[in-house]
Amino acid sequence: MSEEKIIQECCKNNHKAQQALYDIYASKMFPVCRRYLKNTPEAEDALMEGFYKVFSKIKTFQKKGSFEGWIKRIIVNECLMMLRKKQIIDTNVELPEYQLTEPSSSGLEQLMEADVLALLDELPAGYRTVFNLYVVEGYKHREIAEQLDISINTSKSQLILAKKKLIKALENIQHPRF
Amino acid sequence: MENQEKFNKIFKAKASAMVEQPPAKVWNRLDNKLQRKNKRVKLRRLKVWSIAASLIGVLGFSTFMMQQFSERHDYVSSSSVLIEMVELDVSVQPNSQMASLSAKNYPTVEEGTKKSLMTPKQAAQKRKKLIYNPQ
Repeated sequence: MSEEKIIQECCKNNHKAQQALYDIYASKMFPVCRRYLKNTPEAEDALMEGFYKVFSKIKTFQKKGSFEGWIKRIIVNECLMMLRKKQIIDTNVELPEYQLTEPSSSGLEQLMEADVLALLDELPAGYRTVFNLYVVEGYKHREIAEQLDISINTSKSQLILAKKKLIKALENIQHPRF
Repeated sequence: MENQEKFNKIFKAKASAMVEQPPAKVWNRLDNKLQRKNKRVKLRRLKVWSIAASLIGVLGFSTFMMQQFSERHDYVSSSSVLIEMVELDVSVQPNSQMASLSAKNYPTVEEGTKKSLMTPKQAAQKRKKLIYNPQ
C-alpha cells in the first residue's frame, strides 16, 4: 500500500492502515522522543500520545510538505509539552555570550548513532532541548524562545553550554582518563 | 566557525539517522486508546441520530394529530349547522304552516332537503319571522 493510500485509509479510521503507518514511522520517531526525554518510559508515552494526535488530526494534513516532517513536528511538540509539564526546562540560565572553543569534528565522525544518544543523555534537560531544536531540528533561536517560553539569550546560552559539555564529553571519549 | 558548522552538520546527520524500534506495548496501548475513541465517536453518533429520529417522530406525530383534529373540527362544525337547520325545519313547519298546509302541498323530501341548505343566519331570520308572526 502506498503512503497516500495509507493516509487516505487512516482518514477513514481504518485499523490496518493505522497499524501500517505506525510500523513505518514508529522506529524513526522513537529516537526523536529518546533525544528529548532521557527517561525511556516517558519517551514511550510521548510516542504514544504523539501518534494518537497524528491519527486524530490526519484529516488536517494538507500535503504541502513531507508527511514524515509533519509527524515529526507533532512528536517534537508532544515531547516539549511533556518537558513543560514536568518543568524540567531550566529557564533561568542566562550567561553572557562568549566565543565557544572550536570543536573538533574528527572524533565525532567516528561516533556511532547510539553514542550520540548517550552523549545527549548526559546533558541537562534544558541544554538537550535547545541543542536538539537548534542543531537537529534546525529551529532559529527566536522560534526556540517562543516554543519554550524563554528569552532568546537564554536559548543562545543554553546552546553554548550544551556544546561545551558535548565537546568535553567527546574529548573524554577520544582521550579517556584512567 | 567552519568547525562549528561541521560539528552541527555531523551531529544532525548522526541524530537523524538513528532508528530504534519501540516496545510492542506502545502500539498495544495506542491501539486500545484508538478503539476507545472509536467507540466514543460511534456512541456520540448514535446519540445524535436517535435524538434526530425522535424529533422527527414527535414532529410527524404532532402533524398527524393536528391534521386529524382539524378534519374532525370541520366535520363537527358543518354537522352542527346541519343539525340546527334540520331542527329549525322540524319546529317551524308545524307552527307556521300547518293550518294552511294540506296533505297535497306538504313539502316533498327534495324540497325539505333544499330548505336545509339555508345558512344559519337565514334560518335564524326565518325563525324570528315565524315566532313574531301575528297570524
